[in-house]
Amino acid sequence: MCRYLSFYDPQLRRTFRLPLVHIRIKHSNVMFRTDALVDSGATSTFIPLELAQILGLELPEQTQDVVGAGGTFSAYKTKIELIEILKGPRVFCEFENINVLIPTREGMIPHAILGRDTIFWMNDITFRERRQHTVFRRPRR
Amino acid sequence: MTTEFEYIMSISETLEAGKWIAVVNKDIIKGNNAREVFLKAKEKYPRREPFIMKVPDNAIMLL
Repeated sequence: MCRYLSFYDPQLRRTFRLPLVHIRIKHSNVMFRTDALVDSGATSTFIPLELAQILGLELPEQTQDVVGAGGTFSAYKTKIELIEILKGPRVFCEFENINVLIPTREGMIPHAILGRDTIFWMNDITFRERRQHTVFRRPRR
Repeated sequence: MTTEFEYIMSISETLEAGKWIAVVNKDIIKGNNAREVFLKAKEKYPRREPFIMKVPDNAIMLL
């Protein structure tokens, strides 16, 4: 179970909550932790370009089109060595040599996005909006 | 032991919207660029693994 994170929108002058989880990204001896949005509407897993730049990822010349709510945008398809999902300091789910999409422009996505090809493949996920938390369960085989 | 993520959870409503932050223990390094805050955190805490995030600034979101 992961509690939603709560933030303040200065324009609307109200708080809002997001189902973010704690993840670790590792690639080519660079490692850091960040937040990731659990998004059942995403077919793939995305990393913001800003975080890819920290990893020093070599991005391919070719891009592919991604249809988002704001229209179509271009993204690089590449692989990241390791993404771990954490509960407290412990790893509860990990993905090695994982395909990710990286928007070609900064600011296109506000967080890493865990889509249906990763976290939803490994967990049955329930969003409990009233309780402000997300429940992860291992699916029955 | 409280992780940086848990610390951020406890103070997230007070963070400056739209900024990139790097967090080590309870030290928050703010900036406008992810790589810049990461490098500053690594310079200050070379043996630590920083937590990096952009503080969201918009309550209404459709991805």
